[in-house]
Amino acid sequence: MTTQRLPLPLGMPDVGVYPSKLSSELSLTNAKQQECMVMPAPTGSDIGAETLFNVPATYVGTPKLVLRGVIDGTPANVFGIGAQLLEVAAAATVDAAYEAEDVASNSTWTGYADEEIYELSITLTPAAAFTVGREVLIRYYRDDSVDTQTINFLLTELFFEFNDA
Amino acid sequence: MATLTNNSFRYIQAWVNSQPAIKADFKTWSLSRPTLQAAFQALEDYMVGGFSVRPATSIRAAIEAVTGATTAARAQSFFAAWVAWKLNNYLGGG
Repeated sequence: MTTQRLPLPLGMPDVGVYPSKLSSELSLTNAKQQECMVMPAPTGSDIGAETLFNVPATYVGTPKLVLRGVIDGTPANVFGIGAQLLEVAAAATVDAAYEAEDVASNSTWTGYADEEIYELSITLTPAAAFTVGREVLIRYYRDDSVDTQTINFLLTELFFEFNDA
Repeated sequence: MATLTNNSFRYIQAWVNSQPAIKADFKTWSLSRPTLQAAFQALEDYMVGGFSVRPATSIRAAIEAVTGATTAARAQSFFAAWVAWKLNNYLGGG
C-alpha cells in the first residue's frame, strides 16, 4: 500500500478569491509567472472555492485534501482551512447538501517565512466510504471561525491524497 | 463615527491588496485579524470623534498611538487605507 496524490483543478472561486500569478502577488526579484489562486484571509465568512474529482480506481482509504501554496506575508496567528464534500453516484442528483465540514489548522510557524511554500492536509471523513468511480464535489475554504490571519495564501496546487491497494 | 463591519474590513483588505507598497508594509506586521480590525476601528473613532482635539504632537503620532503602528510608514499606510475606505463609503453611499 502506498500513498498517492491526485492533482485536482483549483476550481471555481468565491467572490474575493481570484486567479493570479505569483509575480503579481509577491514582490519577487526573480519573476515567477506560475498560476495561483489568491485566498485572502476571511472577514466574517468562509472564503474559498469549489472543485470536484473522480474517486480513483486504485483508491482504498485514508482520504485527505492537501493544499499547497505560497505564504504571502510574515506568517503568524492561525491559518485554518475547512472542507466539505458530497459524493455523487451516476444518475444521482448534485442537488444535495455538502456533508459536515472537516478542518485543519496551524499556528506554529517556526521555520516558515514570507514567500515560502507551505502545505496543509485535511483528513476527510465522508459519511460513507468513497466508492471508486463516483464523483466527489468538494468545497474548501479559509475557515472564518478558525483563521485569524490577515495575510493571503497563494494556492498553487490541490491534491486528493489516498492510500492504494 | 462608523462601526467597521466585516464588509468594511473586507473592502479595506482588498484595497490594501491592490496597493503593493502598502500591502508590503502590512504583510510584514503579522497582526491577527481581530487586532487589525480593532486598530482600524480605533483609527475611525479617533479621526471622527477626536479629530477636533489638537494632537499633542502630530497626527501621525496620534495615529500611531491609537492603532499601535510602530513606524511612521505603518501609520501612513493605516491612514491611507482608512481614507480609501471612507471615500468608498462616501462615494458609494456605503
